[in-house]
Amino acid sequence: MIELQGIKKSFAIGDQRVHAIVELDLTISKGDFLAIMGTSGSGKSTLLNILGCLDTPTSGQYLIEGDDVTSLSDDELSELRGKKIGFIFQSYNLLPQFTVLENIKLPLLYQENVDPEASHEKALKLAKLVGLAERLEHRPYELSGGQQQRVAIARSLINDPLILLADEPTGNLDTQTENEILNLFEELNSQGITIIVVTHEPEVGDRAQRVVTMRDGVIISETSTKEHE
Amino acid sequence: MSKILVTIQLAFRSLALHKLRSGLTILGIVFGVASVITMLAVGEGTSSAAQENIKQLGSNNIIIESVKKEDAEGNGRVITYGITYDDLTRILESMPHVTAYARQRINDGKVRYEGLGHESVVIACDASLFKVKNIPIKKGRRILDADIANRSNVCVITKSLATKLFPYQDPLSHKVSFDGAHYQVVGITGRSSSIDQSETPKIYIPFSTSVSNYGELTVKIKVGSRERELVHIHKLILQFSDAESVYSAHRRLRRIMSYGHKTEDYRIKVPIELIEQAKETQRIFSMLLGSIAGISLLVGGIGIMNIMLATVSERTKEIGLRRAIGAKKRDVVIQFMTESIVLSLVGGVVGVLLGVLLPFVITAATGIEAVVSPLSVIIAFLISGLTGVIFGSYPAIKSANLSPIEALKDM
Repeated sequence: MIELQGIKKSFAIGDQRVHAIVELDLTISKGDFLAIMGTSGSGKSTLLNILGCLDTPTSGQYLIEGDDVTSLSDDELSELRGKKIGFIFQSYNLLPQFTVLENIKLPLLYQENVDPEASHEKALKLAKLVGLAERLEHRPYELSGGQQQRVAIARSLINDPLILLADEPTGNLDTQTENEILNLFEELNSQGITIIVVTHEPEVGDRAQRVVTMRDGVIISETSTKEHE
Repeated sequence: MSKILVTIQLAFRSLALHKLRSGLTILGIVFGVASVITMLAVGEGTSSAAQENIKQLGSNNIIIESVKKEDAEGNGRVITYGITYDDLTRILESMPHVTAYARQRINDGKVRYEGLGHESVVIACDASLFKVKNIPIKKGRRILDADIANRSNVCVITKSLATKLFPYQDPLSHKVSFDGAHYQVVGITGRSSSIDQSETPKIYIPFSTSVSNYGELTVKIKVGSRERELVHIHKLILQFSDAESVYSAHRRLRRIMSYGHKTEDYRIKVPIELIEQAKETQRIFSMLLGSIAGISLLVGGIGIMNIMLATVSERTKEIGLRRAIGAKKRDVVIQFMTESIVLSLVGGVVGVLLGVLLPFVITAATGIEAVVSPLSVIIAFLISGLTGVIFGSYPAIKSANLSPIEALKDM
């Protein structure tokens, strides 16, 4: 479903070129629950940006459902992100001017031909799925961190994305809440949703089916903890 | 269409998040717009008052006034100057376009009735003056041609003089006196214009009566000296059939008048030209006031830019998030532009209301005439919207050009 072939990414910092990703091949299949691990500076954030179509590689091919996306324009990338990728962030990034329900529906603002009735039903369903059916009219700042992250997860699912990209999703949460969120990820994954988590926390990696570990811009190990087909 | 409405609604929601800040920003525009409208209203009002005053002189009229020069020639101790009967004869002979004329001889005097007396302007005039100057008669009648022919001792007084001399009774058919002669009041003038609020007390008597009662000489008693003047006509109003004839008559009149006058001891006033000068002055005055007000609108606009820049840097993460969930650069620009236009238009609406109201307050408080023109309201409102566009565009473009990665990193 997703294929990265010979991906390289370098930045110019002053006179020097820094190679964030030296060379990388990665294949992600539908239904994967993949954790990308590594210390800071290992290149995992750069990989996440490329996977999320927020950045394009210096060279190599990035195929989403067989289409190379490395040469797309800024507008095309925006459209691709809106349709195929759901983002989850460490700091939730909910908008304070909107209610829970409105935050969940936010990505629909940038989609065309949205059926208001159907999308409302869908937002309600997702709110129920993440356990926030009772808080639809609350503002984000009235919710706990775990609840806010649940809203963010519901928001990431509203457009039926191909993959969920989570960047340190439990970084701001206590252990108990972290477990609840990871349980939610497992539940979503069991419903067939593809999840990619970037983290440096081993307990997050333990829940994933596949763990890819990066260091200095290359993948140094890949393990599969669970079999899947 | 519904998408635009949604965008506007979302802009309101975002602005409502910082009510005080948005409110203060709007206030800048409110005062800018209100002051543009008010300033233009004051400019328009004062000048239309001035034009109204000039119009009263009659736009089809030419007025010649006698002017006493410092070095006026004296024959013995009588000073002679100004418009003469010969001048009038020459004018009437050579200018067939004159449809009517009115001579006036104007002096000051104390007008008395029984125990009461009041200083007023004494105008000896032809019967035609009332028509030529459009002097309205409130009660009784004007001075008629028959009064001139008979040299009747009649007079018409202004309302202001009537209230002074006749506080409790009807002045009509009573006799007032000044300078040793008695005059029967036959009419009272009404107020000639709403602007002329404190009307000078005046008394009108037939020209011929004045000449037969007092002769051609005017004696002016000053402190320590008596001054005798010989002036045939103090003021001569010539009426023409239309404005065209006024223009063509003006130059000829100068030539005719200069004949027989060694010095220019008269002044020719052409109201229609004064009106045009007044209009020109008004244009400059309005432009001046308008640009002063425009500066305050500019300041308001800078306020919007300032707030939007602060908003953009404060909401970097929001921009990053929106870009991540599918917003194109264009969407971000539209979002922030909408917010700044909403700010400026809300300010515009409130400013228009204030700007329409304020001139009334000014008129009530100071008596300065202020006329709100619909055009100035429309212009001020459009400018307020334009302010939002101009001063919102830089912050909006700046926000859209943020790299989504950098924007999201800013946590």
